[in-house]
Amino acid sequence: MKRTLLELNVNGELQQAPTRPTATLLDVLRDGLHLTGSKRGCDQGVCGACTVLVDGRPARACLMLAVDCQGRRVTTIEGLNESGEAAAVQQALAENGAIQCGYCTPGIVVALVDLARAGGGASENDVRRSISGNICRCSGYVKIVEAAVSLLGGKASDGR
Amino acid sequence: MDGEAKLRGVGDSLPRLDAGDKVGGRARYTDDLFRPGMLHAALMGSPYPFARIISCDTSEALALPGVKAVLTGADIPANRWGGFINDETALAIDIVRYVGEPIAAIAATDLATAREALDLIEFEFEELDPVLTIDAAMADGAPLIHENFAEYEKRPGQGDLAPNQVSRQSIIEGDVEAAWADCNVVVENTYEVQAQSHVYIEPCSALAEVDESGKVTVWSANQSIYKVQASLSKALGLPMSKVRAITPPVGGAFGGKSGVTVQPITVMLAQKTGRPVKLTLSRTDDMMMMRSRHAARVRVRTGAMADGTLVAHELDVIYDGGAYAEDSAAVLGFGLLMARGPYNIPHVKLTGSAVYTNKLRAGGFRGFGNPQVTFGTEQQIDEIAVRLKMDPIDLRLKNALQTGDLWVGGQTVTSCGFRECLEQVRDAADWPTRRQAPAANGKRRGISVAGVSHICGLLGTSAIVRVLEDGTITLNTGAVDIGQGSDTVLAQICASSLRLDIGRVNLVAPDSDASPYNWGTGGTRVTYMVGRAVESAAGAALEQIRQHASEIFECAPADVELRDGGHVGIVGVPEKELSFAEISGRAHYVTGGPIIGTHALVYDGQEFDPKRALMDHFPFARIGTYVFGAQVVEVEVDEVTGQVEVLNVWSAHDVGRAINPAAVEGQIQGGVVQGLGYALCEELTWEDGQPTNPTMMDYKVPGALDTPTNIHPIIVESEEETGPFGAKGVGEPGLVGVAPAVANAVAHATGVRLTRLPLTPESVLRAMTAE
Amino acid sequence: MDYFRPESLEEALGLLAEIPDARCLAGGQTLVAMMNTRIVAPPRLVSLRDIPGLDQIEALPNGGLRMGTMVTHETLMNLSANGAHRLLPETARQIASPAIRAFGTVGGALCHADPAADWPTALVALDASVHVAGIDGKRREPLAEFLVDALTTTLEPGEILTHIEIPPPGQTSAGAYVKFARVEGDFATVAVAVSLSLSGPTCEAIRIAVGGCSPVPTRDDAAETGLVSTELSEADMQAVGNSLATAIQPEDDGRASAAYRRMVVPGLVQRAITLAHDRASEARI
Repeated sequence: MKRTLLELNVNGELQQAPTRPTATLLDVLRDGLHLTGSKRGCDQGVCGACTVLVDGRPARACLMLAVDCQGRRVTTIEGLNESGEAAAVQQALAENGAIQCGYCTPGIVVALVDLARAGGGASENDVRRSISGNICRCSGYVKIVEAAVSLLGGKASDGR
Repeated sequence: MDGEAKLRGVGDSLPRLDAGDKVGGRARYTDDLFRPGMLHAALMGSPYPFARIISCDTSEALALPGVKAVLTGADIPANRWGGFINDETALAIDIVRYVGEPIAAIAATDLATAREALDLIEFEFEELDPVLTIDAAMADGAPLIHENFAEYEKRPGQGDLAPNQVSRQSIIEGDVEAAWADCNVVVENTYEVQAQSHVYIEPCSALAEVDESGKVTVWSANQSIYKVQASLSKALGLPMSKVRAITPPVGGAFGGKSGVTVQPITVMLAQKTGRPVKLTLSRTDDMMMMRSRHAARVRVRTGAMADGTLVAHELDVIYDGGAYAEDSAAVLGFGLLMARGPYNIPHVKLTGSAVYTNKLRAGGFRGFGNPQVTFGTEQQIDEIAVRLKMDPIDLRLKNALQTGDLWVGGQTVTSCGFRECLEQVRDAADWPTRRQAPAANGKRRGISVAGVSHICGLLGTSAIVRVLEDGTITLNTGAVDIGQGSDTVLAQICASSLRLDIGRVNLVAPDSDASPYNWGTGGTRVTYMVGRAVESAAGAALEQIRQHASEIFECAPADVELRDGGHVGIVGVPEKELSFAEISGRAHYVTGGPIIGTHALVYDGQEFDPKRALMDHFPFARIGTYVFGAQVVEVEVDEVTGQVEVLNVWSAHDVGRAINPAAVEGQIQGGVVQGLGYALCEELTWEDGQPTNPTMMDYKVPGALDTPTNIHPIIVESEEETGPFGAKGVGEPGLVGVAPAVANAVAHATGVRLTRLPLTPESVLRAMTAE
Repeated sequence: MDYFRPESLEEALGLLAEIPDARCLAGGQTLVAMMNTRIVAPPRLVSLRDIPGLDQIEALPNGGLRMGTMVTHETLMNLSANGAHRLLPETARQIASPAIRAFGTVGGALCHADPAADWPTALVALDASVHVAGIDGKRREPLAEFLVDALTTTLEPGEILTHIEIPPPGQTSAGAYVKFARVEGDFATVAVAVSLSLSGPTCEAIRIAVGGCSPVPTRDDAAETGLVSTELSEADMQAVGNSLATAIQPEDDGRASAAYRRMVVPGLVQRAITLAHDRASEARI
């Protein structure tokens, strides 16, 4: 299949990868750039394991065409690892027993970093809404939510 | 002295050993691995539920640039493998038996090319009449799904089987037929439970390469390197010593990766091309090709006396095994063993079978046959309580097993916290108040309970504890941590056995070239079985340390005591102390040789008692060490839509002893939510043999907003004498009682009893309006 | 496949006209999922994201709203709106999940015309109309007419839906979006969108759209007219709910049976009207 050289701004660096025109951002991140922290779980935007930031907003890497991401800022879990918000989220998850198989975890970290960056504290419902598109099959979400509320919380649960 | 203030070990909620890697996206799962020259593979699935392959043309696919190999059933060895019946091949040969069954595999330079090439393969089929239900499978003159069934290699003791039957078993105690006359109340019903998809978030994946000598190395998502090795040996016709199985981190499994999945065909492609090959399924391929929980039909009859004493219990279950036998015989056997539940019932007749159908194979899935039967049994206990106007918890307490009572089959229950579980959920739930709580406008409200039992001991396992020169420890067990946290728990057991901080224990990743034998992760067994091996192997290492110390101190070994932080000393002489490093150095360089403690065992609990129970074709010689639980669910049912909202779950589990309480809670919470999916929304469906919802868009798994905020795990510790530090297991039980507890709560809320899972809004609303 | 990212509408229309099956790429949240599963394989994609103005929401002098086709669900979720226009954020927050909302667009959703999607139902209740540009000129039509059938609109090859326009909300108006789905963020099994305005205690105008139950959102003009000048009593609401349950043309699907949809529509319609009525009454006080 025809390939073109694509230039993407990933984690603050311009990176080049030979790419099919129909490749998704997730294809390029994983197979082209070997940034494997973003996981492939469904390719339909349902599971959330591939969540990254595009221009600072949470995005499904499997639903973004790589070619359409040119000129945008892409931040993956690998790039977020440098940030203070991520470190705090990661520590909270690890210490609260919120990690099991870990396959959904990078996507959840990205979603929670987005919530943390919004500022202003987060209720349990805010946390649940922020990860509502990240399927975790192991934990039942309780410890993930507790971890995030312990970090960002304040307000009590405000229902749904 | 190390100055370690407090040792972190057994009983502490320590973070997972791999938490840092996982939160940072640095954990490398199978699909994250790349090898030089690696090819990417894709599979083609059968479009028909049952058909004969007439011809196949792969020439166009092979001609596509980038394609390196195309395999079909005609190109692979016809070596069959399986759990109890060797009926599986890596690709369908001559006959396809379910929609999605792999029929061709392609390796190409990239995945898109491999997938594109699949469209270029031309198959010609002759369609056969598919067998799509258990009734159709058992009907007189039903088409045979495996026409050469008689020729398949089977594990001995399967007995005479009817056409399309995979297994037939029974457990009989007492005289159930005569006992009905003694009952004041008898309830009888037939329950139907659906196929549930595992939906581990990491789809099945394998990466294989072959060296010059023909030795195969396979990295894959699995639950047992040794099961992978054994099945690959069978599939490839290679000695086990030529197969090396390695397990990178696994992205969830829940039983779905307990057998081989895509490893055999991946290796065959690597053999064919001489290059490393990686095969990771798409979500839809995974849902259509791999396996599900067994759908089943369960007929149950239970009788009690007027005072609530349970007298007789009869259960007949038919599990839908799908197109291949896999673990169906074991699922059936285990389901029957769990079918009486944690109650003293003198007269019991438990019978069942598993049958082939032209659908996705069913296999192990958290609970392993137990949720299916418990859905029926625990609803009947509830119904009896209603009929006798007794409180459902009181009725269960009245009949609850206790330590020293006998399990069905005659084994003595060595530790039983069932009563305590019931009492704790009753107290935590503020049961008397909530049983009376009024509903909100437009809603109905209810709360009820289910009892839970399971096992945690089976089969063989081993462990090696090595004391390194500096006194730190390398622990090697071959156990696969599928996400539940066993690596951390085993390291905690090792650390506490040696009174070391857990930071000084290194865990070896599972590798069949390096790790000692472990049957696998399944049956809630790792903490209990592998933990025992670890504790004993650490003890064996300690004996050697003791011997060295006694030689250095010139005292009797019995006078050497273990002290915190990797030290030994002489009893009563605080200043006489040696570090593990000093002793290990001596062992490595002076005398005795490196300190290596090992232990190996096969589950050694009491055997079933043939004088007490008639157990026909039962597949396990020994299995047991029982665990218990009680689950209370509070629901609100919407009168307009019939939707069941779960408000609260209290889930108490007798785990023997919690090695890592946070990890135990995580298992309970995760099991509850998987159980809620099973109870309320998850169902794999077929129409004319075609799967209708094999995507995560169509098959809905509960998300963070679909699950109750209030899931209360309660840990009950009954201290199992044979367990490591008193521990048993907790992996599966959290799921087992959820569906009947929900159904019981819905019955309490609405007065309507539903006998078919899942309890969709539609089924609840229809039942309410028919009321 | 080739890909272009034009910087003007004219350029985009030219690129679309060159190849028969060329398609616009908006947020891509549905299109890319379909490409991943190889349901569609467009020969050309024309990305709309660099065309100025298409991601803007403009308040019209008459109190109406005009929004570009590339406005995201997230933008609408955070919109501060008045009266019945609050139906927009209320609907947006029930769509999918944060990442989908951040990139999925209202125009993309309308053009895809999934009967179970949220925007067609909500925007029909708001009496929205759409602006369509083609190489031969522009047109405007009511959304209810733009939506022809399941997954079918009046959009001709080469045309682009550029804007959506919503009339001003009534003086004392409110909306409600009541969605029933298998799980949170799923497509609707049944959705009911209501936009109404009150004059004193009586209903001055009302539009009720039912989604997820027919190829396109279902309204019942006569039943709506029957509610005008009433005080929206329970009996009034029941009557309109029953008539809508008759008017829908549901099919059995993986979410529910047709019969179930007919069972729940009356109750959900009543809930939605009650909610909107309560909100408008509060606004009145």
